[in-house]
Amino acid sequence: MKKIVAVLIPVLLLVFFILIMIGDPFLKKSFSEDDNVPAIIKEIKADVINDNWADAKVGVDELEEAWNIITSRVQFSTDRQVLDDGDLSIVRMKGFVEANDSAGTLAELGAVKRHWTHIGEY
Amino acid sequence: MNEALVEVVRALIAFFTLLIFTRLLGKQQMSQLTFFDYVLGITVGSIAASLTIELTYDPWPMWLGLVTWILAVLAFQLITVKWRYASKYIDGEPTVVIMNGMIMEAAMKKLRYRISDLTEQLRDKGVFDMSQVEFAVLEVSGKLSVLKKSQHQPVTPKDMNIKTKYSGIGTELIYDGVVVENNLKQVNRDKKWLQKELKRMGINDVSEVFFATLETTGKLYVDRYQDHIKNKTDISDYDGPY
Repeated sequence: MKKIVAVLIPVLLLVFFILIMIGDPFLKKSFSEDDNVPAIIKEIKADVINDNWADAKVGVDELEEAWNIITSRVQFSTDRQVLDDGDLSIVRMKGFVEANDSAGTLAELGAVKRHWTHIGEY
Repeated sequence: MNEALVEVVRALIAFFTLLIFTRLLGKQQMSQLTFFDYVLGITVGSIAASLTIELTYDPWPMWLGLVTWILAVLAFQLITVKWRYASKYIDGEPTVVIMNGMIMEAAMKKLRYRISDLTEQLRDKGVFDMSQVEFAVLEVSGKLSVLKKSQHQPVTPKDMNIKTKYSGIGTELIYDGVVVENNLKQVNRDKKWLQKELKRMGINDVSEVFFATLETTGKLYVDRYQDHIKNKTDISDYDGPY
């Protein structure tokens, strides 16, 4: 029994570490309405194409919140650069939306989408 | 993102991974490490450090790199244990640098081992007179093993035909004020006996003892927390503060 426990402790510890490190493809997925990054991006894109800038502004705020939720969940398994780049794209997007600049907003939306895809890609 | 928290988690992952895997690697002593083992150690430590502080990299590929290095070491260890030829090929062989009192210049040249290295390592072994050396072997670890000429070897009790008592490894009976009951049982003694022995030495309770062993000669070695030394030998010439 003692021997089993002695082997089991390091094995379980290693499994736990591995789960922490490779958990991001699962953890980046949406668990509620507030953290669905791809869906929010889709909504903002539709608003921008339809010149609906008031809704786009609300959408970007929602996207920022969703990105923060995802960041706190995947922070132990994802490299910081991807999370920071996504954050910066959202900040820039806010400016483009404020200026009703569809080209800039769409470009940053594409960037955020790419950063989200990079999470959990090794 | 809480950077400090992420670093703490990554540090713990690296720490316990190293702990678990180095335990798996076995009990190879630092002094027996070859130069390659030494470099391996530095590389593995460096990857573990990067895993902890390089937050701009995913931890998983780094961890995999760390584990791959350690598993490669483990694989080589297993190969060299199972296959003597591979062991010689990978780790190299000890080289005789002094044979029958003569320095083997060709062997030393091959190893890029200088005469100053040889004399330094001989001095380290307490040999200041080259003429006393019969054999000197440069081990795989880089250490020098020296066999002095028979006339320069210390006299042993056997040479003098003196009978000696058996001397083995002592058994720890008290560690940090606590009786090690398993060991006590192993040497066929009980707590009653231990208390009686301690009382004979003027010790009333086990908690007064820091360390006690039963030697193979049957003698009980006891060290108390209170050493009662009146004239302490102070080798320090530094006043402080620490």
